[in-house]
Amino acid sequence: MNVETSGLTRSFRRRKAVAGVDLALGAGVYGLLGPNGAGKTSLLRVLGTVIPPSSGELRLLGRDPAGHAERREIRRRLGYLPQDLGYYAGFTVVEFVEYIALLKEMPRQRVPRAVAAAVEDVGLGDRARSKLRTLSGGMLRRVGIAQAIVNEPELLLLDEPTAGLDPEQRVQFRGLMRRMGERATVIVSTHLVEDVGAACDRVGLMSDGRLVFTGTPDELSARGAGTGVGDAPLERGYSAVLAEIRT
Amino acid sequence: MWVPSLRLVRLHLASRRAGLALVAIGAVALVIVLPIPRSGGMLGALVPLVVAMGAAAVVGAATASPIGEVERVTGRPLPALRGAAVLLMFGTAIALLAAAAAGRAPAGGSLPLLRACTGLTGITLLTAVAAGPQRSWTLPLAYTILCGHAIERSWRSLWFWPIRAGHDAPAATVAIALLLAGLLAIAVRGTRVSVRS
Repeated sequence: MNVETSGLTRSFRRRKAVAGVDLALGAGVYGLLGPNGAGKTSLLRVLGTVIPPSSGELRLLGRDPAGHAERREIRRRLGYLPQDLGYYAGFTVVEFVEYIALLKEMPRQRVPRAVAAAVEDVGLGDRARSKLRTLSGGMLRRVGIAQAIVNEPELLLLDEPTAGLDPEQRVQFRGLMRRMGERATVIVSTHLVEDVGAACDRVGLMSDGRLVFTGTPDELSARGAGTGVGDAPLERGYSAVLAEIRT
Repeated sequence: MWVPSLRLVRLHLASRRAGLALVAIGAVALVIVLPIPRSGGMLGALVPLVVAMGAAAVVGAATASPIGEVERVTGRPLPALRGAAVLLMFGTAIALLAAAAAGRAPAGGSLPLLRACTGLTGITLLTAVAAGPQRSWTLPLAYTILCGHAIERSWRSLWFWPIRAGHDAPAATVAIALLLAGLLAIAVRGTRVSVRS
């Protein structure tokens, strides 16, 4: 298992953003759904070793991130795209992705080819030498995805990766997620249920810091049969589960 | 032993806008060259302190990472790069201040200026770690104002080490200790970033 959590919590002052999450995930694409403030971003930040958990057990790639040396090893093998990507506007696309690859201690001789491949994978090959300040929001999102995949991570965490992408780019990105999921654990937090339906093997639905549903997209769709609100089966399943826990 | 590639160092310095910071440090050092009365009096004592604080503030501002979380969750190179970038800025500040003060320093020589730059850089770095690089200038500024009052009242306690005599060994020790503490903190922890829930 690449991700194992048991009773995982993360509090900010008195509010529990993550309130006891149990997960056991191997290779594959795992979609994380939930309303705003459900705790998806906080959970991803804990799994990305950005912030430590407040309590509970956490093992990533078979290691305990509480230990300095183990955390360092996890980070070398991790890909992470936060909701808000920070960047230095004076970098070109290639420079930014190369900087992250070098920071992740990729062998130097492998870096140029890995950077070129990651930039091509996100469809920015023709803008590789463009400064980040000249790119649109959707293009910057794709640069963020490129830096997350450049080290061929075994654990890939993506927070709202398709925000700002046009439909064609989203279809292309789903293909990339599926390819990555063949050998790595990909966890993608999103509000777009169609992304989950098209690319995810399993899906978790969070509400108030807890995982209130875990299963396949088909199982989530089935929960909404005849009761849920929405235009698509997954949307109906999503709204039915949330309605159920609120009553 | 792991050694960062020159390419990584160059990219890291670029991300910290090191070029701009070095120009700003040069501009601050130029204040020393201005025809301001330097021997004796409140102004003469305050100018080196304010100039040192200005250089330290630039070093503190240059610790800001525009990349944030993505950079923080990488591997071993980051602490060394952060430390090296600060050392480069600080070294440049010391060199430029020493050059600017040559032949123009007050009776105590350029030592108090360089000592103030050393200690105030340490305070700036510690403030950047605790409060973030955008606020890193606040504590050094408050301390400089306090030292101004100490000059007025002729206080010479070690708490006001920047205004003690140029060759005062305890004052130099405090300044170096502050710099080392700040350097260590910035390398190991990095600057504070706001944590959204």
